[in-house]
Amino acid sequence: MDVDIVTTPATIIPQAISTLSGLYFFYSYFRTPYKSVGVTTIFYLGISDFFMHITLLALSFPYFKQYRLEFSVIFNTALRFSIFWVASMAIFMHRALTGQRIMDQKRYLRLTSILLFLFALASTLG
Amino acid sequence: MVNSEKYEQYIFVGTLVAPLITSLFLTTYCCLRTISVLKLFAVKFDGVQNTINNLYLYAVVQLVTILPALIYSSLHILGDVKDDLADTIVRIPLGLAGFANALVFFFSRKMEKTESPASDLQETLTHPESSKMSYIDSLKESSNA
Repeated sequence: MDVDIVTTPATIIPQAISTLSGLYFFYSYFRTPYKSVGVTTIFYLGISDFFMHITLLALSFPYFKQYRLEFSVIFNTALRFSIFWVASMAIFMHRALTGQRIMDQKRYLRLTSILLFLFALASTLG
Repeated sequence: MVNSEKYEQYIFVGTLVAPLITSLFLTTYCCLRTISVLKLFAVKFDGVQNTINNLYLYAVVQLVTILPALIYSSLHILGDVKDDLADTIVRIPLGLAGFANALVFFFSRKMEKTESPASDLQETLTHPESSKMSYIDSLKESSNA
């Protein structure tokens, strides 16, 4: 399923829409003068989604089919990152709101994102 | 060829079911726990409720976009169901996942701007200086003052 990509307009158009919306999201993020922690965390999700869809979109073209395995790893890692992201944000919100002090939220979120990425990569390669 | 395709589907389902269930369980648990704690402290939680709703929306988007592909792959493994049309149909929501996440983000930001421009949670999450203090602690301090 994740490796065998069908090249049809019905599958290319959603990928293209998602890739374009990811690009617009990046544009609006960098245009924002003050980047809050909440928006930055969603930005990480946006990066993950962007990579997920751009690999699927690239695999629709014959030239990139030789990199199928590499793209499959990127796609699966991004998919798992997106899945784990919601849970990690819920945990972060719970910790931030219910008395457990988080000293530096930006650093904490950056560390969480790196750990999530490594975990997703490990679960893909494993 | 058929065996290798089935093996790929098996890997897809086998490695995705556990993270998806764990993630949804953790999200539900944390959100419910947060609500119960805030209710316990009798804190008004309009701003927090917005954040919880947004998190739930992200979780629902993931479920709606990934679940069809997962069900189809499971049917393919267990019941040898193979249909090109169904295969294409389940790829459409999976392809729209990023678009749906972006929509949730833009709508939630619009709602925040119109409904609660400076919600308490937003204050907590946007100012790194105030991160030394938790939300409930800050509320307690403000009520004491």
